[in-house]
Amino acid sequence: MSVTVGNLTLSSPLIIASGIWPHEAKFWREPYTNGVSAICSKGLTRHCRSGNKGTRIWETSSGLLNSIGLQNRGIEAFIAEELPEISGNQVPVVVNLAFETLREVEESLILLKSVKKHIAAIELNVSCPNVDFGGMAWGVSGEGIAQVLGAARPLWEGELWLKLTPQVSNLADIAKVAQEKGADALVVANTWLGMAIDVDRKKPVFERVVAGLSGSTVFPLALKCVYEAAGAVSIPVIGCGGVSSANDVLAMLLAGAVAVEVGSMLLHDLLCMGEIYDQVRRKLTEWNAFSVRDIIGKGRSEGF
Amino acid sequence: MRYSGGLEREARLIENTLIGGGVYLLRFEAEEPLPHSLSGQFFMIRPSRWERDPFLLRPFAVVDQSDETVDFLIKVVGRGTRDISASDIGASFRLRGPLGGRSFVPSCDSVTLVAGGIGVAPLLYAWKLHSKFVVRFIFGVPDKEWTDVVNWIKSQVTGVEIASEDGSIGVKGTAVDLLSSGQGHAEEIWACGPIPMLKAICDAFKDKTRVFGSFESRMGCGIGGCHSCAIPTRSGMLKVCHDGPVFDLSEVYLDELL
Repeated sequence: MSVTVGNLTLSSPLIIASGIWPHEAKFWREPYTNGVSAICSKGLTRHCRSGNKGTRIWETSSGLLNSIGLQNRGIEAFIAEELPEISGNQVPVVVNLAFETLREVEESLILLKSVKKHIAAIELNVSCPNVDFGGMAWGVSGEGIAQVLGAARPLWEGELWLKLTPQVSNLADIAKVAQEKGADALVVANTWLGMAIDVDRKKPVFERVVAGLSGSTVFPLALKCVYEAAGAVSIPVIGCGGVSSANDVLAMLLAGAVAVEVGSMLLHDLLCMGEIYDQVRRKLTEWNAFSVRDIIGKGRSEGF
Repeated sequence: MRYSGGLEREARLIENTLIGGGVYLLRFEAEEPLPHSLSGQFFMIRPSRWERDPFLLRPFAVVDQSDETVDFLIKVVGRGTRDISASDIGASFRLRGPLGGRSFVPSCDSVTLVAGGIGVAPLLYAWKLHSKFVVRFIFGVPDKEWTDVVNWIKSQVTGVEIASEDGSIGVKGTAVDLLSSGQGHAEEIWACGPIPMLKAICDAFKDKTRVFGSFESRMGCGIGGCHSCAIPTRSGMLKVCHDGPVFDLSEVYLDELL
C-alpha cells in the first residue's frame, strides 16, 4: 500500500488533511491512525491568531461550511509545545503553513529548520479562503505562486508541497508554474467558497459572509481538479476534497493522484481511515493490482 | 480499560420516550462498557443511517449513565434532532464520547444548580452525582409547553424549584428571579441555559459567588481538532468541546455570544 511522494515514502496513500486533527498525542495513535500515513497540522501562521468570531461551522447537504480563520498559537508555540507532542508517534507530521506576507513564510521556515528532522513535509497553504489578506491572494495567480516559491524554496531543503485553491479558472497553468518554480508536490485542492443565510434570522450565518465548503458534496469538483492538475504536471499530485470512501480514494488515484488527503469525513467518523484503507486494499487484490502505484493515473482517458 | 474504537462507540437505541414539548429521553446501550462520564460531559451522536447526510454528529449532555447505558434529553430544534428523535428502538447509532475536558466538579460544600430550558440536561446528571452538595435546584422554563418536562424533572429531583416566564408553572418569572429571591447563597452556582440567562446570573452573582456555566456550540469534531466551537474568553478563543463545556463565567465574554 506504500506510495512515494517526491522523496517521501508513505506507508499508505491516506493522509489526514489540515484543519481537522488535534495536536494531541493520544489522537496520533491507534485506533485513529490505522491506515494513516501522515497527518497535516492545523494551518499555522508566523504569529498567534485568534480566528474568526461568530458561527464557525454550518452543516450543508452532505457537507459543511467552515470559517475558523486559522486559529492557532503561532509557529513558535507549535515548535516548542505542540510538535514534541505529536512527533514521535510513528505518524509523520506534515506542517501546514499559512501566511499573509512573504516575510511571514520566510520567518516560519527559518524557525522550522531547527526541527526539520521531525517534519516529513511542509504544505504551503496558498488557498485558505477565510482570511482577508491571506492565502487566497497568493493562490489565484501564477505570479503569486511564483513569489511564494521564490521565497520558500531556497529556505526549505525538504519536501515542499503547495496546497492549491480550486477557485481559479486556470488550474493547469497554476500547477505548471508551481512545478517550474520548484514545488515537490501539489495538493489539489482546498475548500470552495460558499455561503449560508440563516433564514430565521434573515442574515448570513458567517460574520465574513463567505466560508469554505467541504465534505462529500465537493468530491466531484475536487476529482475534476485532480484530473486537470495531474494532466498538466509531472510532479506528484495529492488529491484532496470531499473524499469519504474507498471508491473516492480509488477514483482520485485513477485520476492521477499519488496520495489522497481526507478531512471533513473524519468529523463524521474518526475511524474512517482504517475502514477506507481496508477497502482500498481489498479492491486492489480483487483487481490483481500488485500495489497502489499500479493504478495511479490508470483512469485517465486519452486526449483530455 | 482499553476501548477498541477509542472514543467512537457503536450503540443501540433501547428507549425513546417523548416526555412532552418536543423533548425526548433517549437511552442507548453501548456494545462495549462505557467509561464513567463526569457531569457536564457529553457525547456526539448520529444514527448509523446517516451515511453522509446529515453529515455532522450532534452533541448532547449526559443525563444519566450506567456501565452499558447512557441517557440523553433531546429537544427537537432542527433537522438532526428531529431525525434522531424519530428513531425506532433497536436503531444502531454511533456515539462519540464521553467528551469535554472541564466538567462540573464540586470544589466546595454547597452548590446551587440553575437550569434554563433544555439546559436542565447536564444539571440533572450533576444532581445525580453530587446531590449531597446541592442546596437548591432551580429550573426555569418559558411557558406551559414545558409542563410535561417540568413534571418529569420533578419526578427525578426532590425539591426542584420551578419558574416560568408566563407564570403557568411554578413561580412567575425567570430562573434568575427565583435564584435572587432565595435566602442565603451557595458557595458555587452551576448553570446551563440560554446565554441571556447565564449573563443575568453572572451580572447578579459574580461578586458573591463563583458561577460555572456549561456551554453549547455548533461542533465539528468534538475532540479539540477543528476549532469550530470556540468561544471568546479572557484566555483567548477556547474550544467548548475540549476546554469546556464548563467554564467559569467570569472568564467568558458573554456579551459577544448574545
